[in-house]
Amino acid sequence: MFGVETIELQYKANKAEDVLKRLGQLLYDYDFVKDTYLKGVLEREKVYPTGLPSRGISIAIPHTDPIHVKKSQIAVMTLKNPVLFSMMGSPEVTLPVQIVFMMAIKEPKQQLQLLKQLMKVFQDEKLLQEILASQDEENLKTLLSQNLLTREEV
Amino acid sequence: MKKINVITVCGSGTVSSTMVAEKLKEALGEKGYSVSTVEITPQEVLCFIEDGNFDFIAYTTPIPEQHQVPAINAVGFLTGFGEEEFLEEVDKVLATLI
Repeated sequence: MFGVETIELQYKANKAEDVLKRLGQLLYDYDFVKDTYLKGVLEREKVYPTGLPSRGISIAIPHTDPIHVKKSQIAVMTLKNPVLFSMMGSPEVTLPVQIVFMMAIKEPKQQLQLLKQLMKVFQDEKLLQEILASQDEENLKTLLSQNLLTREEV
Repeated sequence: MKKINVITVCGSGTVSSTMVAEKLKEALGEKGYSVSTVEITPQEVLCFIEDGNFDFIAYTTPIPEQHQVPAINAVGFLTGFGEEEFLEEVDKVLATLI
């Protein structure tokens, strides 16, 4: 089981690093991750970037090894203006990312489940538009819980 | 059943690589292939190629350059945006195996 308690809406950032720092800090402030988590994410993103293109909205799914995580959690950020992230598998390509799902997951198996669910969300352009347009944290939490938690977990 | 051996690669060697492996087994299973996979990190690629007999590599993170085994970018397969293109590449590789 993991939560979706950490949300940042319409965040203003100039570069990917600002986004990672803000979300990493948020996860740390809520005690979901160890103080090594952010460094882990920053280093991993440099070597293995996580930007993903879709037909419309690009997303990023930064994460790092489970050893840095205390309690499984996914931090979500919508961006006021798109921020450039390098693309997964093709670091030479940059993508204008608008929604970021930072995964802090303790179990690889759980992470696989979450990735599958995220890819389903990612296929749903209407849902992505809805997430991006969201102005209310509580509504977004509900929306994300419905779409990211699998049946076994609800 | 035609048997094929595939290496799937991602940064951790556990998550995206496993998802790609599961999707491959499903997609190629429908075409009559029995797919065996190993899920590994980019650092392990060269070592595995030396030791094993693999038909292709599907990767979501860049892998070291090598010329023994065909390698296909699987990020589009992972997200679903580019699934057909990925499977076309796979078909091309499979067509060379007899």
